Parts: sequence; C-alpha cells; structure tokens
Amino acid sequence: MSTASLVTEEKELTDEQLFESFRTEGDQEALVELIRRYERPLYRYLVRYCGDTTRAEDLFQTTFARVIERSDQFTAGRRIKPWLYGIATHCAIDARRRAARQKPLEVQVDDEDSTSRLGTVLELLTDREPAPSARLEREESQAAIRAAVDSLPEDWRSIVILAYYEGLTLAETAEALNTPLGTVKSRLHKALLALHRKCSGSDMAGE
Amino acid sequence: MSSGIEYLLSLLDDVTRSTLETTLREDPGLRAELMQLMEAVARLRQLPEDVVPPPGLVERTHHRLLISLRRRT
Repeated sequence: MSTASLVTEEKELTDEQLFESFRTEGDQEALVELIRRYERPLYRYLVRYCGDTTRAEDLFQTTFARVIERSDQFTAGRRIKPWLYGIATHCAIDARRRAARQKPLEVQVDDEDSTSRLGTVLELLTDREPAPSARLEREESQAAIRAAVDSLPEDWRSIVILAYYEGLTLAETAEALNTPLGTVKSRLHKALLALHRKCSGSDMAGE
Repeated sequence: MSSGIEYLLSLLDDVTRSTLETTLREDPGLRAELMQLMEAVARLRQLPEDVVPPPGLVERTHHRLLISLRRRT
C-alpha cells in the first residue's frame, strides 16, 4: 500500500483492514496508523489500570509487541478492538503481579503535574473557578474513587474501566476479557455495589 | 437484579424495561439497589475524562516494534 493510497483511503480503512495490510504485506504505514488510532484510548486505559504513566507507556508498547507476536492468532472476522484491549489487560495484570512481588504499589505523581497543581500564590488569589477549597475537595473525592476502583478485584476492575471509561460495549468487554457476557454483567453489578460501599465508607470517614 | 446493569446502560428492550420498572415500583429493596448502582456510576463519572499520551508515543512504539521485527527475521 503506497503512502498516497493510505492517505486517500485512510478514513475508509477499518482497523482490521489496516492490521491485515500489515500482517500480509508488512505495511508499516498501516501499522503506524493503527497505533495512532489507539494511542489515546489505549494509553488512557493503561494509565487508569495501573495508575502510573511511565508503566503505562511501557505497557502500551508491550501490548503492540504482543499483538505482532500473536498476529497469526488473529482470525478472520474477529475485531481488533476487543482483541487489543484483551492483550493490554493481560499485560497490565502481569505487570501488576510483578510489581506486587517486588514492592507495594506506589502512586506516581509527575513533578510537572504536582508543580502545576500547587500553582503560585498569585494564581491561588486570582483563581476563581473552582475555589481552592472546592478543588481540594474534588481532588480528594477523585482520589477516593480512584482508590476504590484500584482496590477492586482484578477481574472486576478491568470490566469497570473498559465498560465505563473506555466505552466498550458489554459484548466487547466480554470478548476482550474472554469472559461470558453474563459473567461480565454480574461482575459489573457486584463491582458497582462494592464501589458504592467503599465510596460511601470513605465519605463517612471524611466527615 | 439481573437486568440492573442493562437498565442503567439503556440496553433493555421496551417490554423488559417496563416490566423492570413495574417491579422497581413494588420493591423498595430493588429500588435501593438500583440507586446504589446509579450513585456508583455517578461517582465514576467524577473522574477526569482525559489522559494525554506523552509526545512521541506512536513513534517510540513503532521503533520498538521495528527492532523486534528485525530480530525475528
């Protein structure tokens, strides 16, 4: 596939066609386009899953490396998206297990991010929306929600993130996690009730 | 409540949704459980939507894949 044809046909090519073009013809432009399409959603998923931007980048790269290694397993008629998220989830689970064996999981905060969050005195004085106290409250609330999501069992957490944050349908989530649809629904139900309990508990503790 | 999740995601057909809503009106326990599910979803939506990938992620990923592909051939 030439550069010109990729550019003109780009919008019409499906993810599956791009992957097929890479797999059968070694088309690197198609591969780059596929990576580009999933750059934001897959990276976001991995950051949410592992809570660490550096690890998320490594997992992102590892996911595509595994995709290529397993390209022969991708059968016709299958869809890339759930397959890709399934591989990413396995990579993330492996990484979490390795990290848990090495040391307790730490929440990483980028220097730049923490600096910008602190802001200057002038910014604090002039920052009208939202008020610092409201912002702090919101950030505390978000941290509690993140902690609650993070404390869910592995197979519940991946369902919550895929189904709610990444917008996969329940059927796609089931396919990605190689889990029956009924089990996905049941686990999502239990996960949401557990989140409600955990968040309600943290709210009460904060009062 | 087996259909609670589908109800929340608006995935139920009209008949099933109507049946569930009738049941909900008659069963305060189920209603309370659905409220808990809805509150959990509302909390999840409080988290920031966007996470911006680092610049050059696509290029670095492709570079790593090229190295891996060269090793295989």
